[in-house]
Amino acid sequence: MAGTGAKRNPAQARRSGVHGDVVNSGVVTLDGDFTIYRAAELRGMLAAHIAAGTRQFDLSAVTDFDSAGVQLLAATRASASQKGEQVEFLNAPGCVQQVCSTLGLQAWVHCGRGAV
Amino acid sequence: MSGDERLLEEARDDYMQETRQMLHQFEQALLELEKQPADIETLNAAFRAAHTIKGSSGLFGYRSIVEFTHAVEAVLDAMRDGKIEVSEAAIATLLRARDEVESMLAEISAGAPDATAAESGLVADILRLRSASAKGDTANEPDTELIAVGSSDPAQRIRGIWHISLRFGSEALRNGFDPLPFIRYLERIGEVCGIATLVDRVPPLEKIDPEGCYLGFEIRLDTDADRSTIEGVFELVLGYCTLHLMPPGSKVEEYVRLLEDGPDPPAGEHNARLGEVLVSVGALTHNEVERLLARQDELRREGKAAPTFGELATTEAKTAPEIVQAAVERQERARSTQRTDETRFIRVPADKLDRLIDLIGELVIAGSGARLIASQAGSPRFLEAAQRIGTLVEAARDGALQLRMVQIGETFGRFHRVVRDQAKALGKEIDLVITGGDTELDKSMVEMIADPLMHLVRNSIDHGLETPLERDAAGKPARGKLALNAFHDSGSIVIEVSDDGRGLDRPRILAKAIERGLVKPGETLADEALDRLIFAPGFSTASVVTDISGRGVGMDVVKRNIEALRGTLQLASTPGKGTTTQIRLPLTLAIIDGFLVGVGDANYIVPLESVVECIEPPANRNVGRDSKTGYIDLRGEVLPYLDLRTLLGPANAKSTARQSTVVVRYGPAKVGLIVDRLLGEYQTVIKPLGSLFSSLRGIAGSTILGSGDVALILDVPALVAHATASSTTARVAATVD
Repeated sequence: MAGTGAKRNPAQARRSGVHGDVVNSGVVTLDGDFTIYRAAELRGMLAAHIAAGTRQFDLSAVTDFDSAGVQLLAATRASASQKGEQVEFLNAPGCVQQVCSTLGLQAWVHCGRGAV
Repeated sequence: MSGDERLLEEARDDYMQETRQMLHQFEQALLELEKQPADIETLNAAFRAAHTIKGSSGLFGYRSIVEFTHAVEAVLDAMRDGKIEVSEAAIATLLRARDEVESMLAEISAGAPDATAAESGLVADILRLRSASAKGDTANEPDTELIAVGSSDPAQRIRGIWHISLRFGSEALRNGFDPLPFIRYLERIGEVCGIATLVDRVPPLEKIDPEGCYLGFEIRLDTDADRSTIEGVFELVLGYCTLHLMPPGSKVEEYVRLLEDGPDPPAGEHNARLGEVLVSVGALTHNEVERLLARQDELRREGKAAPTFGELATTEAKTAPEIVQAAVERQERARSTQRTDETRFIRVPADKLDRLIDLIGELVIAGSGARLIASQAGSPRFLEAAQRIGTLVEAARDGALQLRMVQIGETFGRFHRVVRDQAKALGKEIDLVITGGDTELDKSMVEMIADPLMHLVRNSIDHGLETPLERDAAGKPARGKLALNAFHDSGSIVIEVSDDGRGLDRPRILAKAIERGLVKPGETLADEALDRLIFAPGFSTASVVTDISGRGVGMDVVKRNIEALRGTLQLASTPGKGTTTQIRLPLTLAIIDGFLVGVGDANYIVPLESVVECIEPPANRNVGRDSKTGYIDLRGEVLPYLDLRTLLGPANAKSTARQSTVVVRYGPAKVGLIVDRLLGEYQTVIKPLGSLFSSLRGIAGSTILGSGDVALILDVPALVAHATASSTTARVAATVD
C-alpha cells in the first residue's frame, strides 16, 4: 500500500511499504507510524515476517512510536522466543529511542548500526 | 526585591507556617501516643508529620533539617513495624527531637541559609533508638530505607525515593490512554532513577490483541513531592490502571506483595523474574531476593504448599498487609478532607485586614455625618437612605471585626505539653482540663495573653498543686486538676485558670507583706485584700526558688500585662481546696457600640455593652463626702454612683433640670453614672488619645461625632473601680481631677 502523507492522524497514518512483500529472511525495513492507529495492520505484518523467518528489522523509517508500538515489539520478541530465537531492531530513529529510554527498554533496540 | 525573590520569600513563609503546623501535629500525636502506645493511627500521624517536614525542608535545601528528620522518621517507621517499642523514653527523645527542629526553624527564620546540625547528643540518642530492635536482626537484613540505585552519596540517600507500581488494564490504549505521557510527566516532579517495563503479559504476535494493553511498570522516583502530588500525575488514567505507591523507606515485603497480581506462570520462574525486576529497579538487593527464594524452596521441600513470594515475605516479617492498606485508605480520606479544608480557608496578611478595619471605621464616622445632615435637611427619604447605609455599615463593621477573632482553644492547646513536662519534672500528676476553647477573641490579644497564662499555669503547677503523696494525705485524688476555661460576659472575655491544689498560703503572704513593709503589723486584712498582695512587685512567698517560678518577678508583671490590654485580674482562693485566677479582657478594640451622653457642654460615650439601664436619679441620694460619689437605692439594692458633672466637668458647670442615671456594670460590680443628657446609641470608632493623656484614668479613648465634635469614651472598669474602692489597703485609682 502506498504511503498517504506525513501527518500524524489515524486517517492519514502512513502505511508500511513492505506489506505482503516477504521474500527472504534478511533485514526488513519498517516504515510509517508505529502506533495504536495501525496496530492491527502492523501485527499481521509482523506475524507474517516472523513466520517467514525474518529476524532483523530496520526501524530507520519509523515516524512515530507509542506504547502500542512497544507492545508490538514485545510481542515480536515473544513470538521469536517461542521458536527459541531472537530478533533485532536496528537503526532506531529518535522517536523510538526516546520512548525506549523513557521506559527503560534501551536494550531492545540498536541505534544506528547498519544491517549485519 | 525582584518578583522571583518575592515569590521565594512568600514560599518560605508558607514553608515556615506549614512546618510549624506539622511540628504541632507531631507533638500532639506523640502526647497521645504516650497515653495510647498501641494506637497505630496516631503513630502514622506522627510519621506523616515528620515525613512532610522532611519533604518540604528538602525543597528549600535545608539539609540539616532533612538529615535530622530522616533519622526521626526512621525511628517512627521502625515503631510502625513493631521493631521498636513505643516506650516513654522513646517518646521523650522524640519530643526533644521536635523541640530541636523548632529551634532549627528559628535559626532559619532569623535569616540563616541553613540551620546548624542537630545537637549531637540528641542525634546519638535517636540513632541508638533506631538500632535497638525488638526482634534480633537477621544477618543479611539490608538497610532498605537507604535505597538509591547504585549511589552511596549521603545527599542522594536522603531525598525520598518512591516506588510506583503500575498495571494497566486491557482497555487503556483502546480508550486513548497511553502510559507514556504520564510516565514522562513524572520527570517534572522528580527524577526517575529506575524503571522496569513489564511485558510478561504481552502475548506473542499470533495471540495479541494489538489494541489491548498488557503493560506494567515498576518505577523508582526520586522526589520531594508528596503522595498526593505523585498520585495526581495519574489521576486521569486511574480508571484504566491499578496504582500502588510506596513511600521512601517502605519495607521489602510490601514491594513484593504488590507484585503478586499477575497471571500465574509456574511459581519458581515467576518469582525469579519478579525478583530480577525488583533488583533491576533497585527495590531489593540480590541478598534479599535470594533469601526469600531460598525460604520458598525450603518450604516446598518440606512438602508444605509453597506460598507465593508475597505471602512468604509478608509472614517472614509478620507485617499485616491489611494494615498497610488501611493506612493508605486512611491517608486517602484524610487527604480528601484536607483538600476541602484547604479550600475553606484563606490566608490573609494581618496588615491588610487592619487597613480594611480602619477604612470601615472611617465609613462609620462618615455615615454618622451623613445621617446628621439628613436629619437636619428634614428630608425623610434622605434620612431613611442614610439610616439604611448606617445599618449596612454596621453589618460590615461586625463582619470585619469578626475576621480578626480567633478561638482561644488554639492557645489553650499549647499547654498540654507544658503541663506534661513540668508535672514530670516536679514529680506531680496533673490532668489538664480545657473548656470553652471555642471562645473567640481578637487575634492581637491571643498573642499577648499567652505569656500571662503561661505564668499562671506554672504557678499553679509549682506552688498550687501538691505531690501525689501530699494529696493522698489530704484526702484528695492523687491526680491534681488544672483547668483552663474561657467564656464571654457582657462585652468581655473571661479566662480562668484554676487548680484544686492547696490554695494561697495566707499566713505566709501576710508575714511576707509585713516583712516587706507593705502591711503594718497587727493590721487585719480581708482575704481578698491579702490575696491581692501577691501582685506587689518582687513579691514571692516561695521558700524554694525553683527554675520555673518563685523568683518573685511574676505576678506583678502578669498583672501589668493584663492591664495593658485594658483587662483586670481577680483571685479567689480557698485553703486546701484550690485557687482560681480570673482574667477579664475587653472583646473589641477598634469600633464599639456606644451610648452618647452629655455632661455640661461635653459629650461622653459609654460603651453600650456595659450599660444595664437608665433611670432617673431619685431625689434622696446618700451623697458622699466629696459630692462626687454617693449611694442610691435601686429597688432595694445599694448602688454606688458617680456624678459625672462634678467628677469630669468644669467646676462651675450648672446643673440642668433633669438629670439621668446610667447604670453600668463591669463584672459583678454596678455603678450609676449621673449625667445631664441622654443622647442615644452611637457607633463609635475608637481613636486613641495621644501619649500625653495616657495616664488619664477613667477615659479610654476619644471619638469624632458626626457633627465633628469630639467625645471622650469613658473607661467603665476604671470608673467602677473608683466607685467601689474599699477604704482599706487596696490603692485607689487616681481620679481625673
